[in-house]
Amino acid sequence: MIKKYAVSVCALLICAASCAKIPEKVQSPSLKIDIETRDGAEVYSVRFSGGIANENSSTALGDVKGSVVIRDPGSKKDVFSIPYRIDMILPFSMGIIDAEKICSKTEVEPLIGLFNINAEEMARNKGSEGIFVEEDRISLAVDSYLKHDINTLLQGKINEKNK
Amino acid sequence: MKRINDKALYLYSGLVALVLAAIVAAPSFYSILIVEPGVEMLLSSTENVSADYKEAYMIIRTPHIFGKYEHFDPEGISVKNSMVYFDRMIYTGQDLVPEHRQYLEVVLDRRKKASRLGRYTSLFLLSVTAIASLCYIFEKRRSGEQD
Repeated sequence: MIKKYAVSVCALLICAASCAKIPEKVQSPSLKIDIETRDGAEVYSVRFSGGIANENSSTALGDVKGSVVIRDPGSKKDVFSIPYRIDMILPFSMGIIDAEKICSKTEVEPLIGLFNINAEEMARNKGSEGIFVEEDRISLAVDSYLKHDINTLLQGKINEKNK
Repeated sequence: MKRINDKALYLYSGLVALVLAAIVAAPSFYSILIVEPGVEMLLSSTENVSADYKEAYMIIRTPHIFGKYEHFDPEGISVKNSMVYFDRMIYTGQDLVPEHRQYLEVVLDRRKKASRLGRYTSLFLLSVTAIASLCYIFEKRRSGEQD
């Protein structure tokens, strides 16, 4: 009985020690919509920028892939999503998301409605102004990432440089 | 009423405190006697500064058991900022220069404080052992007189 308990406690401790904290929210999120003409057709370029923090002290997160989802807080429906990829986020550092998505007018319309953008003014200026996205209108999805022990990672970089 | 066997109580509490003191003292004195002088020697380097500073940083990047790089009070923010900076410098392959020494010493200082905490804790536990031993001897003599 005691042996079983000890094994369970050890397994839990090992699991807790090996778990990395995954970023859950985007900091300073903003987006901008630009109207461009590509191959004679009018397209909308949605550019999103924000930061995600790696709060781990000794784990670097590599090849972080996922998507930022803009949602309507009223209906709780997702209105737009934009995929991102970050090469490496070192411990206690901020990974910068700078993602762009080219889409059609129908895809962008829910965004225009959600942020009360004046469509005529946007058409005149060939784009919107930068829009700050409130916390209740955004969610972050992390689909995949690689965990790197910071000591191993940095030692590898030192060895690489010494070659 | 049955009298509690105080001798056994003093003996075992003293032994437990002694074992704990040894457990706490081992990493602290290893750090004080081996790790910290080694890092200081690397930081006093005048030739091959970048490589020596990087080696020193890699040693102190592994935290002391009593000074994990996880919970930072306002005083510890400088340690956190220094680590963010040096992680980035080494990851991007940049050289470290003599001006970086003071910031590496900030990180080393956290390790020294952790060692000091371990040393004082083990001293406290040793004093508990000493008190328990004295009580044990006193109790043993008293029970000898009563017999």
